[in-house]
Amino acid sequence: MKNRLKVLRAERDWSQAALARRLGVSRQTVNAIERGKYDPSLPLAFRMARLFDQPIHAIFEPDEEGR
Amino acid sequence: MNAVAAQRARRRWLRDCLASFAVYGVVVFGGVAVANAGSPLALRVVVALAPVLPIGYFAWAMVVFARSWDEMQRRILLESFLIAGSAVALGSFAWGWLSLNAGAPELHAIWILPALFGASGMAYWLVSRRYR
Repeated sequence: MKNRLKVLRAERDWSQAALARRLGVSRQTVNAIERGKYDPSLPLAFRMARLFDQPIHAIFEPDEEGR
Repeated sequence: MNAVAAQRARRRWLRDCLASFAVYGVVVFGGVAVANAGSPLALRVVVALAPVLPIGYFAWAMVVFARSWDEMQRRILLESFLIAGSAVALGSFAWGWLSLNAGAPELHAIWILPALFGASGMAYWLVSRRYR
């Protein structure tokens, strides 16, 4: 799954640690999601959508393999 | 989980680890003294099983600490235990056959738990690399 997390975070000038704090996860988890190494659960994706005030499909999109 | 709750969970984990291993040390060294003193069988059975309690508490503390982790950390932990459990089970199974049929020395079952903890630590390190 591809995502725009890094861009959205940069727009707000938040560090990974700051975003992690807001989401209630570890910085490593934010890093893994940004790098596409880990796909978040639906509840976490909803928390991100609420935090960035964007619909989920504006943050995440399936990659070429449809994952 | 917020930073304060995470900090509290880490402190509790550290406290539980120290407590369980301190009790384990006392029970093991005390147990050796009881076993060497020629105690009755019933007491030796109790003393032999006593180290299971602090290690059981350690295992429970690990579960409680893992519940404070986020979803990705828990996934890494789950994959690590699956890999470590499989490796230790297959390793002991293979060693058992080697002992039966190829003259390999018999290993005491007491080594399974430390092997599981060690293998879990290594597996956690390996699996977490996949998510970096």
